[in-house]
Amino acid sequence: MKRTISLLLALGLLSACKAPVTEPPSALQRAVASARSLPPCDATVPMEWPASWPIPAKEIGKFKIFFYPLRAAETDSPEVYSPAAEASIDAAQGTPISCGLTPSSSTQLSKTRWPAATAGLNLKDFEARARRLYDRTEAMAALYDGRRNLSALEKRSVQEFLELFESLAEPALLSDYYRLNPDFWEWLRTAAGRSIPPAEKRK
Amino acid sequence: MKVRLSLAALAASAALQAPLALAARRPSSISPEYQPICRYDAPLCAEYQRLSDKLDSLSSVRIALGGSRTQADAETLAALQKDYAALLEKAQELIIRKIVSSAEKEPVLFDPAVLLKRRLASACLSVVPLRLSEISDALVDQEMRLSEIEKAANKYGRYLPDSTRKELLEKLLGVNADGTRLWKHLQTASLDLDHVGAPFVDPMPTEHFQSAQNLLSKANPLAGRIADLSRRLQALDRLLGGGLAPPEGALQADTKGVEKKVGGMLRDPFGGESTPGGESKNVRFRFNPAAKPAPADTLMGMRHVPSPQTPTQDGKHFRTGKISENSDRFELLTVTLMQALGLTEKLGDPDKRASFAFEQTGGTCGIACQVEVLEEAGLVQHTWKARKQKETELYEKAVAKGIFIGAVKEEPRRRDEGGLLPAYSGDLLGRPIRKHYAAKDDELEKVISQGRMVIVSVDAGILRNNPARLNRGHAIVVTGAERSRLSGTILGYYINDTGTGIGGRFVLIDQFHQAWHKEGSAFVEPL
Repeated sequence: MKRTISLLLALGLLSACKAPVTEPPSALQRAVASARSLPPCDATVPMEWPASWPIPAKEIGKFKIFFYPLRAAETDSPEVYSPAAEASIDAAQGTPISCGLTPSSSTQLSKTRWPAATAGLNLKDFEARARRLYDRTEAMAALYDGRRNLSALEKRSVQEFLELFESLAEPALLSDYYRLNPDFWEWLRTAAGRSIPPAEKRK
Repeated sequence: MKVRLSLAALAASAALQAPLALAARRPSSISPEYQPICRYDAPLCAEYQRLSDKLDSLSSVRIALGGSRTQADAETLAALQKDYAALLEKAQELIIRKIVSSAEKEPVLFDPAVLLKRRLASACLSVVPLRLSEISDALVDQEMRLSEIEKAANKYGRYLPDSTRKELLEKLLGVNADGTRLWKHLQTASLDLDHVGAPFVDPMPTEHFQSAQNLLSKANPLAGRIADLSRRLQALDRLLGGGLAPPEGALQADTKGVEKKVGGMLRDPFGGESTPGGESKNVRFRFNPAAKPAPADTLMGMRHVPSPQTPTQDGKHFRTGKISENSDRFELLTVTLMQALGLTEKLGDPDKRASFAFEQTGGTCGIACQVEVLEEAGLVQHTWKARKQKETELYEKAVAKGIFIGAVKEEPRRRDEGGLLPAYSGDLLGRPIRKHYAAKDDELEKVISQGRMVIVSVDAGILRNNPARLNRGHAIVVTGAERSRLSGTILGYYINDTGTGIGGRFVLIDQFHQAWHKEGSAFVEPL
C-alpha cells in the first residue's frame, strides 16, 4: 500500500516536470530532412545516406545538398565517405527538384563526422544549433539573391552564419560544400571578407 | 492483459461432472481479503461476489474436465470477458476517485481487478504444472511408438513389403492423432499461462512470476519436442509414400493475422490456410495417389514448424534501451510508474515480437525489417541462422532489382555503405502491403492499435538520442504500443531495431514522432 501511494506521489511530481515543447523545424529544415523520402530522391538515394547542410543555389529560392555514406558502425563516431548523390531543393515547396548519383566512386574520408566544436553537445543543443544554422542559411540566401553590397549589420549576420556553419559542417566534406556552389562562397568572400577555402582536388 | 478463460464444459459429461464442480466450490460469502471493496461500493461488492462465484465454478469445472473447449465454453468466456471489462471500468473509477479525494483517509487503495487477476492466475498456476507433466509423459510414449515405426521402416529399406508398409502407415496415423491431441493440450496450457500476467503491468508477488517463468521454461521444450515429432512423422510418411505430409521444406504464410499471434505464449501452427491452387502442384504421391493431404491442424499436415516463444533478451517486459537513448528521462519514469500502477495497457505483441530482432549486416535495415515481418508470418524459421540467410537472400534480390544502391559496386563495400531505396521499402516481402506517405500520427496509431506490425523510417540520431547519427535514415519495426488507460493516449511505441539487434525497446511518443516526422512520416503496413 505504501508502495502504491509513493508511486502515485512520484507520478504527480513527474507530471509537473514535463519537458518543454521544442520549436518546430523551419520549412527549409523540413524540406532537407524529407528530401530522401520524396520523389525523385526516394528512388535514387538510400535512406542510410545522410543529407548535408543546405547551401543556397544560384537560382532564387533553391538550395543544394549532397548525400554521403556513413558507415553503420555502432560507435559514437561513424566513418564519413565522400558524397555519392546530390539534389536541388525548393524550400517554398518543400520538395526536391532534382536528384542524381555522383559519377565517381565514394571513398572513405574521415573517422570523425562533426567538428570538434560539437563535442559534448547533447542532441537537444545540437538540434538547437542546427535550427539556427537553417535560419541563417535562409537569411544568407536572401542576401545572396540580391548580390549587393552588405551593410554592417548584414556583414555581422554573414559572420554569424560562417561561424555556425564551421561549427557544424563536417570538416572532411568542406571541399564538397564549396563544390555545391562556388559562386556563393566567393560572393561571401567578396561581400564579408571571409569564406571557406576553395575545393581541393581529391586524391 | 486480455483475460481469457479456458474451461471444459462438455455438454455430454456436464451432468456427470457437476458433483465434482460443486464439491470444489467455496462458500458464497466474500472472502475477508476482499472485504474493503464493500466499504467503498456496495453494488461493486455484489458484482464482485457474483463474478467471484462464477470464476470459482468455472475454474473447478475446468480443472475437473481438463482443458478441451466447446462452443459453450466460448460463449461463457465471452460473457465473462464482458463482465470483467465492466468491472475493470468500475474499478478504475474507484481508483481515480480515491486518488482525487485526498480528504478521504482510507488506508487502502483497492483494485478489485487486480484481485480478479490474482484469482485467475492462481487457478492457472495450479492447473498448468499438472497438464505439462501429463503432456510430457504422453510425449515419451509417442516418441517411442514413432521410433519403433522408424526402425521397422529402415529395416526393410527399399524392399519394404506392401502389407508391412500399409501396417506402418496405419500406426503412423495413430501417432499423428495422439500427437495432435497433445499439441492441442499444450496450446491450452500455453493460453492458461497468459493469465498469470506480466511483471510491471500486473502488481503480483515476484514468486508468482518466477513460477510462471519456470512453467514457460518447461512448456517451450515440450513445444520443441512436438515440433520434432511432427518433422519425423512427415519424413516417415514421405518415406512410406503415404501422401499425407506436405512436400519437404514447404512453408506457408500464416494468413490469420495478428489475432492468432497474441493468443497464447506459444505460436499456433494451425493458423495456416491453404493457398488456392498452392502446394498441391508440387506434391508427388509415390505410393498412394488417392490419399488427400492431411488437414493442417494435425502434426502430419503442419506447414510450418511451431516455434516456441524465445524468452525475451533480458527477461523484462519493459525495455527502454540505454537510458541515454531516451530524450526525456522524467517522462520515461512517469510512464514506468504508470505501468507499475496498472494505468497503462499494451497494444500489439511487443514481447513476443521482440524475439524476432537480430542485428543487420551492412546497410540492410530496410531488408532486415522485412525479414522480421516474414518471420511473424511464419515464412522464416525462428532461428538466427534462418534470419541471416533470408537477409542475404533478400539483399541479393534487391541488388539484382537495382533497388539497393551502394556508393561502390564491389562487395562487401556496397552492402556496408549502401542502402535500400525508400521508394521500394516493403517490396521484397512478396505479399500485399499498404504504403503510407506523409502519414498522420493517428494513422499509425490506428494500425498499431489493431495489433499490426509495421515498418517505419526514422532518423537514427533522434531515435538513439545521439548527434553522431543525426540526419541518417533508418528503418525499424514497430511491434506495439503502450496506451494510457486513463486518457486513452499512446505513451510510446515498442520497436525492434536491427541496427542494435535489440527487440521490444520502448520509445517515448514525442521522441518517436520527432524521429519519424523527420524522415517524412512514412510507413509500410503488411496486409
